Amino acid sequence: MGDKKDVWQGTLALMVLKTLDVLGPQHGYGIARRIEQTSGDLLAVNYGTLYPALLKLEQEGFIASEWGVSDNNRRAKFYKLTRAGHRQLHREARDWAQTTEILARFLSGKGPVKDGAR
Amino acid sequence: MNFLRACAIRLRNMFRKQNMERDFSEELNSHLEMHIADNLRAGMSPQEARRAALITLGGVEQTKENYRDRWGMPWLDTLAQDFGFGARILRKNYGFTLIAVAALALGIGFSSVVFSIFYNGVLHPFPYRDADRLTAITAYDLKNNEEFRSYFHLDEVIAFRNENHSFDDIVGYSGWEAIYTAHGISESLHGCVLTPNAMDFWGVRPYLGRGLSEQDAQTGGSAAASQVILLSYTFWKHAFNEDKSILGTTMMLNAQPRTIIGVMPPRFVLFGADFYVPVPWNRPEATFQAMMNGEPNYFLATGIVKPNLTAETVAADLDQIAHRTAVKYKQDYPEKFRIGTRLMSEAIVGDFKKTLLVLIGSVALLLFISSSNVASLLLVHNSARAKEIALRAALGASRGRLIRQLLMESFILGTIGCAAGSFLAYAGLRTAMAMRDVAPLQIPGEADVSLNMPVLLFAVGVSLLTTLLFGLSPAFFAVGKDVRDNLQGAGVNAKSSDRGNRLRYALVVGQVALSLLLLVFAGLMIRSFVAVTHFDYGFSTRNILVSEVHFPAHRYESAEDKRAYLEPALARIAALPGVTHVATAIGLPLEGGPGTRDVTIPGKPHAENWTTAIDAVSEGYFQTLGLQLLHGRLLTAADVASASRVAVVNRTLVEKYFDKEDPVGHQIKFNEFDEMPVTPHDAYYEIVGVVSDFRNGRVEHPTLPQAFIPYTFSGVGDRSLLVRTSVEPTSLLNAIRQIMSDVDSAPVLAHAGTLDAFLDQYELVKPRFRVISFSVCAGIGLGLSMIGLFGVMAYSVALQTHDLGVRMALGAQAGNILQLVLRQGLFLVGGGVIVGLIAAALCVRLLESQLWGVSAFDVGAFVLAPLALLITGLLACYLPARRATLVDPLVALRYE
Repeated sequence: MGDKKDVWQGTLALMVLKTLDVLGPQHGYGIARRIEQTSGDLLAVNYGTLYPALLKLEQEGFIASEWGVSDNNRRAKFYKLTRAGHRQLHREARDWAQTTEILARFLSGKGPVKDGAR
Repeated sequence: MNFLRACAIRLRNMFRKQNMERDFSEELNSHLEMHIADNLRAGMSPQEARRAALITLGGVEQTKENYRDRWGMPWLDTLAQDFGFGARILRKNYGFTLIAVAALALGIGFSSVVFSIFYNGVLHPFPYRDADRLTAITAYDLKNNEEFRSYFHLDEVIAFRNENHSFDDIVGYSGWEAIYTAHGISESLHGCVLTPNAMDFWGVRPYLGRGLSEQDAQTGGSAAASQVILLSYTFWKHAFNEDKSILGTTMMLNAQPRTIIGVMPPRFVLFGADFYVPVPWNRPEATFQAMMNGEPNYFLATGIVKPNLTAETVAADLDQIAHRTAVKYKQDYPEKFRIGTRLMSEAIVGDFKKTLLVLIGSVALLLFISSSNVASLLLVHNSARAKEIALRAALGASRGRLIRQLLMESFILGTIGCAAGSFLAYAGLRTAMAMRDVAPLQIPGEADVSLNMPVLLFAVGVSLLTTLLFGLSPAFFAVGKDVRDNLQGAGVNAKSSDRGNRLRYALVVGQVALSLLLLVFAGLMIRSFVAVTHFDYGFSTRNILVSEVHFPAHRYESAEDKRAYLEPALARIAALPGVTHVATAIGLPLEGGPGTRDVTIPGKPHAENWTTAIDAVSEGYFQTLGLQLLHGRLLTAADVASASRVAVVNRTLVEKYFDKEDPVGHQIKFNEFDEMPVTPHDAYYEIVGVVSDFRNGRVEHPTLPQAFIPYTFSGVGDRSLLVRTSVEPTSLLNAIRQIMSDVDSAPVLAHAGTLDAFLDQYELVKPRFRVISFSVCAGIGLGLSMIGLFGVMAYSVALQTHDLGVRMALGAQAGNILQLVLRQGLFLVGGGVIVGLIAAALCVRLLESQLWGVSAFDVGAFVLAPLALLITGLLACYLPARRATLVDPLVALRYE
């Protein structure tokens, strides 16, 4: 169970970083909505799990937060990428691309092993 | 980096919890409001909008909980909680805490202090630098593999020193008898000649002034001609009364003035010398004349061997050097020889290790008692909490959390105990050092007594471990069990003989057994000590002054010369106020006199050797020692004056060689006399009297047959002086010296002192040290195990409150109850005593070598120690038993 959560949290962090990169400063609710919308129906997630992830990213210095006012005039806490966050986003995105590529190649069955192919 | 940064922030966050709560509540609020607003816009009813938003969030409280976990350091939080909880429990049970901390502290403190003091102050034999690597160099004759010589020429020592590859340094030293003259009175001193590197080599700083330098050695060019002198502490005390102003003044040695440059500390007793003088490395071989003046030609060679070398390597290294120098000194070596080495720590104090083992043993026993004491206290304390712990488990405390809490509690207890113990060790040592001169400690003044860290750490480690281990006991006995069981019964029912109960009793029995072991050992040591100090020499040794009288060479060689000097001297000493008797002899009591060879008694043929000790004495000898005349007569002044061939013998000689016959009138010939040039040959002595026995050999040996003849029988050898006084003997020393010197200043007194001090050489401080170390440990051990017994009994009474209440309700009298509880206590103590006696009987053999004059199975020790333990044990049980009689049946029954 812990493993799954770790994987999830890892990818969640990447999604948060990417969302902030695309949308600019955004509050927690906005980030959650955006992730949900982007993933369509594939990802049904409790919004609540987002907050510990945000807190972790902030503690690690990848995002910063401040209180502000939302589009419909509500007080909300806004998160934005820091410079370390930008770097981290690029690093994680690259790693993720690599991982998926390897996995994709692996799952498609056409490995680099030539004589093994029937 | 990021991880560390996060940790730092989380650590800081722990102290900003309130802010966080408020901040996050607001954030969640705004989140929900935005979500609800969106839902409303999507056409939901207000209730539905709120419900859906909450569902998607996954619950406000859960979210907050998850957030909190990420916010601070939750495990640190629970740790702090556990700490607070443990501290509260300990504060609440302050009686238990106090006793447990005291037990820990006493165990740690006293074992460290006792060990430190005795190891550094008394036991450690060498005040020298690198004492464990000091190695004596000896040549062995290969023919019989016996030690052949350990003295070498100075240039051999130099060769050893310069050509070896296995020593840090090598020093040469030798003895030198010299005559010291002050105020017209001469005294023979025993000195030591040292090579110039000696001060660095031994690494001992002078107590006063400075040590010997290379320059000191060069002036004069020889030991006899050097112009400085370094004094031993004992000599400084005896000759100068510890007067510090003598530094830089001169004293006359062999009729030559020498400047006193310093005083060595009390424990620097190298060579047992009164003083130290230097000899230069390049001194030529001493001439005969120089040797007559005391200049030594042969030196002991001792080196500091480099670390991690085997004895064989070192010996082989020196061997080739010695075989080279042996070419020059053929006459000094056997045909075939090898060089061997001996560690001085082993050679000089052979039983050092044994004594150290005894010390470690006694301290370890003490530590075990204190540890098992804490262990049993913890068991008692925790079994009483079985119910509480079961309740907490029932309310949902996880096993892990309970164990963590228990660990934390015993950790706090252990830490406080260890801190108090370390403090006690430190303070105790300070106090002991402040009283260092007070008898019976008498820690040598210059001894650097510091806390022995390995021992302190060991003590702390053992104590902490015990505390943690036994602090966990309820985790094994209570947590695992069915909760209902514990809630119902345990902690109330005394009859529940669970593992905890048995372990508790076993610990008490063990403590009592260990204390008994210590008590028996201490008892044996005390008996041994008493045996040594109250040893029956056959005469009173108190108030006797003894001294050797050294005669100059080529004078006083005839019996008449000696008489002409001694007779008036003895007469004048006898006239001194405070002197009751005075006598001369050849040896001192316990030395047996010169001869112990075969005797011939006409009419008594014998196949085996009939040996006897002989002493040549003046007529006052028997009165001086206080020997009783059993039969016949003593030697008279006339016998002595005319050197009559008469002898007085001791009772042992009569019993051995005369059976039941009357020896008086028989002749006896000392065959040894025939072999020496200066003693009467073929001389038969008529036995005129029999005196009582006294110890004339080593203390551990039985009395030898002994004969006394007039001291005028021959002019042979040096003599001794014995003076019985009615005042402190040494107070007469100067007056006696004055008289002797007035009669003739040529003969000198040497090694003058009280007979008791002389006998102390045999007795030494060791028995006293063993007595103190064992007694201290036994005393504290006894106290500790009584605390343990008291704790367990008190608990057991508390457990039986209900039981006792029923008994009293049914008509049991206070006496019955008292008896009941005491019987339980007695059962524990008795068990411990039996186990302890068996253990003592098994272990006592190890102690045998440390005992003297008392059997290892001494009845006194083996009866008194258990008795002492039983009595104190009953006392420790009495208080809880008394409390048991005060149980109010009504209250006890309502307790259910």
